[in-house]
Amino acid sequence: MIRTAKLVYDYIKRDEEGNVEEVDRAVDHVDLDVEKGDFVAILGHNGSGKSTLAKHINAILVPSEGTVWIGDMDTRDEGHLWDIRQSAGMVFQNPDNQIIGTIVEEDVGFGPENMGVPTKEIWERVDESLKAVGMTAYRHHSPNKLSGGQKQRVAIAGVVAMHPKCIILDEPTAMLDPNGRKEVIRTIRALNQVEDVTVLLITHYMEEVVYADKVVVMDEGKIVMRGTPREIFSRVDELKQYRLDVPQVTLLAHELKKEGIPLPDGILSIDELVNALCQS
Amino acid sequence: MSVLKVEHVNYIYGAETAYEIQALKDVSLEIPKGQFVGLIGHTGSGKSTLIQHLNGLIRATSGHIYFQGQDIYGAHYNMKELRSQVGLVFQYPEHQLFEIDVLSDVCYGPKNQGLTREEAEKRAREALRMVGVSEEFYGHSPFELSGGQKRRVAIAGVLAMKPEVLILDEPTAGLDPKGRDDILDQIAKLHQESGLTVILVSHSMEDIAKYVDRIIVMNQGAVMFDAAPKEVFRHYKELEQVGLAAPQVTYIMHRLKERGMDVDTDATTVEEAKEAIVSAWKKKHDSAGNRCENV
Repeated sequence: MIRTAKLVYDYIKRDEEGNVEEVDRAVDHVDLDVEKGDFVAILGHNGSGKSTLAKHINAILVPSEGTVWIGDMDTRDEGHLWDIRQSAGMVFQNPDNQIIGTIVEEDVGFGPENMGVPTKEIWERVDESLKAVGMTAYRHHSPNKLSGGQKQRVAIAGVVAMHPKCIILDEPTAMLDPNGRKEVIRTIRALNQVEDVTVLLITHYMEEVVYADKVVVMDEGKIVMRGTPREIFSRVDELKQYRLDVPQVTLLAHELKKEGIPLPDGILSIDELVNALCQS
Repeated sequence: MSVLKVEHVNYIYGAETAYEIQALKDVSLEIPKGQFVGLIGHTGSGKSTLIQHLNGLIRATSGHIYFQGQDIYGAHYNMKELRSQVGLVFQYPEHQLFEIDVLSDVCYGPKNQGLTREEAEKRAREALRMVGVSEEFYGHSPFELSGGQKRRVAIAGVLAMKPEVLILDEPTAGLDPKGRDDILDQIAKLHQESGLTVILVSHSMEDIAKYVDRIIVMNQGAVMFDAAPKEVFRHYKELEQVGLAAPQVTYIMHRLKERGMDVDTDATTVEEAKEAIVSAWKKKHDSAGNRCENV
């Protein structure tokens, strides 16, 4: 579905005459293979190259070296640009920057309308997208009266209405309160599990990663760890080196183990910890 | 004496229009000097409206606010002075950086207070040291720094005005976990060493539990709880009903208790939870091997 081979991206700073002043390698030989229906989480500290990588997947950026394929389309091929943008939709951090309609349903319909979808089908897509994110009841509301989590779900519906094969979410919960975060993560999981949409989630909240099929950790533009959440979160000390963390429950289990309580590695949920403690 | 005192404050947006919203309802609180206060509440609960009252950016519809005993709505009160005494760091403060280099940006506040270039620079250097920005960056453009560094520079810009009270509105949003810990550790250190009064607005219950002495919970414009973290998080079910939560640890402790483990459910940090579980576990294994009940 998504494949990158030896992907390199350099941010190039030029002086006034156009001579190269500085080259900053943001993505450094990344090989990534995401299959249809996968839920992949990308972790990494600020400046590790996560967002730059994500921007390659819908061809906002094209590689300096290496290749990115979306299905069988090379993102460098400009003839495929619109197909790629429709295949891979992006959701960003700040919901206020992504909403343009004055009424929720208009906002959601904007994408398909732009794609030239016939009117009748636009409305069908708006209906199903709002339903998929649980916002049907708000379809006639003004987006600026919604909470952060609700706005973000409208933004997701707007992407879903374009029928993408894949959705890339770049820190979609960073600005939300605990409830908003829960709503958005629940929505993303449902899209992945029920609608079989491929999901790439970039986040700094370790608890949100627990639900992913695969986790990729980036550092200095390279992929430095790959595995299931359980595999990744078993390596607490290594994660800390990369300026990351583990969910509080995993950290607590790790600390208890150090104190001599026999517990399995990589505990991810409260249930797991409670059960393990009660059986030990 | 309390440094800030809020007395029966009400605030109405768009008063006498069709869009009238009461954003604050009879809010009263007192903040003693040197306290580290956490302010939580879901989006739209009135937190931001409240903090903007504290440095006079918004004027209450009714009620009084006292800073160091003086009524800030008094006839000859110096509002400008108040704004440098109650330093407010907005969300994403790095969007407000604008100067040519880091040092000049931090100097902007103190220069505006009427200090000479020399004095302002001295303050700026001190503030940058406090937030842990090293000297090699002083000449850099603030826009070339990493997200965490930019945010520190922005916080330094407020600290350089030597405020009595520092209010931070979600200072760690969008930062990676290490960046989050670094900034909050630095603020905690500042609070301990200089006795600065700090009000921290955050959506991370884990961070709140780790750092603050007292939590104020806002809901629908009113104060819902105002107590020590342990006490507030005891009401975790009510917090959930208003769109908040307790730290993960709190849930673990309650679940263990339900399953018959004799633990202290007041633990709110990983450290406290570890101690409580280790002591309960040892007790259980010292006495006969009685297992948890299966509920």
